[in-house]
Amino acid sequence: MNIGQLETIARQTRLRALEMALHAGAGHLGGSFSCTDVLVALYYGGFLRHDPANPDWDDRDRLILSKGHANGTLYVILADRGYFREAELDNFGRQGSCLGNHCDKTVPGVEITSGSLGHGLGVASGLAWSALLSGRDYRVFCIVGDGECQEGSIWEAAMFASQRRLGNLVAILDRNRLGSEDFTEDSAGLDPVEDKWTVFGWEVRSIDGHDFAQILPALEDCHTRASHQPLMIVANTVKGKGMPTLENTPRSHHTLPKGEEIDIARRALA
Amino acid sequence: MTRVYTEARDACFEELFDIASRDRDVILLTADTGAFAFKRFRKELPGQFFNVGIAEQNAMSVAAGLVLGGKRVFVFGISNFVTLRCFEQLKLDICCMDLPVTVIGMGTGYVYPKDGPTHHMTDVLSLVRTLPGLEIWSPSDYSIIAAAVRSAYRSTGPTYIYMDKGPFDSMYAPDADFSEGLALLRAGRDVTLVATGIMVPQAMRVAEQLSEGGIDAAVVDLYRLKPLNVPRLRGLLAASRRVVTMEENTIIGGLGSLVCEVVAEEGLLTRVKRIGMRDTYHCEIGDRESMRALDGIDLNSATETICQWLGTDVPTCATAPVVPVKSCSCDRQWTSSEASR
Repeated sequence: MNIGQLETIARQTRLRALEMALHAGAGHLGGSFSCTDVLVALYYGGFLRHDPANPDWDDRDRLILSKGHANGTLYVILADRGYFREAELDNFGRQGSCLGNHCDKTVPGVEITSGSLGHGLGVASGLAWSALLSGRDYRVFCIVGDGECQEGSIWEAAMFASQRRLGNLVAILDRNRLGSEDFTEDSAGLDPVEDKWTVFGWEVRSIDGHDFAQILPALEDCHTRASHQPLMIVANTVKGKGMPTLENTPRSHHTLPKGEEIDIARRALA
Repeated sequence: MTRVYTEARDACFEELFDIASRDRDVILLTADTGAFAFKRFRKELPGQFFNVGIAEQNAMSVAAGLVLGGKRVFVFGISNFVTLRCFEQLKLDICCMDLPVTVIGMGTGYVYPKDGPTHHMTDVLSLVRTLPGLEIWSPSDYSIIAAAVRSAYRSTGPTYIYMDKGPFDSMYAPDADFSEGLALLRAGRDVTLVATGIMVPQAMRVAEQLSEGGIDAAVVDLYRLKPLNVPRLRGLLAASRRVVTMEENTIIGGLGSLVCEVVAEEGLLTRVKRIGMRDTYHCEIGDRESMRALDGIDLNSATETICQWLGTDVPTCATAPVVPVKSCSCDRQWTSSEASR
């Protein structure tokens, strides 16, 4: 799939997630839209080996969305790839639905329950380690929020992954620079974030997380690289990407577009 | 052949070594906490034993990941640190996803009496009881420790083994069946003592003292707190008009609370007295029985409390002076000495 096609899918995915959240009256679109392009690259760009008809396939690559609140576009993608009926998206966040506001392992295609921050990278490390111990060659991809890097458990996992030489672990840091209330650098600053991961023993690549011309090369060798260092791709992104009135604002974390903002967002994503 | 053990960690880790030798998918993680048996793991099963460092949160998340990848994982560490420090990882990464991770917590109650409040296991039972799906063992005997390890290996869900180092009285046969979750160790018509873990041998000694005062006390060993065998416990509680719970844990949320819940929910008329740690911290330094004396859960105080509750005389064997360890006054001395300069 070429870059133009991936861009189209990313736009359609955001639009469907927007409609889904508006229908539900809830959702974390800001953090979901900042990592949408990375998710689209993984699921449509051929990097994630998976089989929607067999979600428990032993040798599948694993995708852990550690920032579990950003499940909006992931659920749209999982439905589109055939893990569950597309119509189920209309039940998102509604009474009796299996699709809630955070990732739940009961949803086909979702590997772990996540939503409390700082857990996913440790679980991903355990999965990657399990593969090495068993001589299996699946890869583990983990999308980590930058806000959740303020949790100490993330750095416990960072030390562990390099100590155990988890070269089969690929983490993608969704560096949108925002928590739910403030910019990360105004609460518990992370910069220079690339340096931090480097000194923790990771190979670090820094990219524009909305530019497929940079995302694809960064992921290109994820199945073939010989390095035993875990790989961290710092994806510099914009929270709320695609919703002009909410982009790069703290309120995009949990606030949906209102009034004329809705049509502005729809037009931007059309 | 079933082994006879005389040391708690041997019972746990020799049993686990046998399991790990047969099943190469079994992994033992330690959060930098040692045991003699680990030398054998390091030497003979180096691909199945790992020290993952002083990082209990990550240890639990990694254990969950290993299980999701097909491994069977046991995690060992000091009880406080493999529960309180990483409670949310236990809850979300392990219990919420119903993963067969076994956490082995070293030490219960005042197992480290001279190490201060950071090492007093005052509330572990109260806390882990709240985790849905977690099987909780609180062994009172080496044979139960070994059985708990075997049970955890067979389980399809998470297990917590709350293990004291003892010494224990060997009360059970090595091949005893522990599937009931509790046992009536001693019959008695006047009062029923319900205890768990290291307080079970203490309850047996209290019952002996009470018998010298003419009180016929039953003793129930509740060695598995979850899943709780409610019908069996209900029957034992209903058979006695008075029940005393004994635990080296806060009386809030632990064994005493559990028994009160059953009494209330089952509509029993049994009266309950809880003997356990009070709602406070202790910074005193002393041996285990002296620390227990601070809360009245040492042998003589427990006997005295029960006698007073029953309205009977305290037997002479339990009237030796109870000497709780005294509070340290070095802060005051230091201050006055400084002030005098």
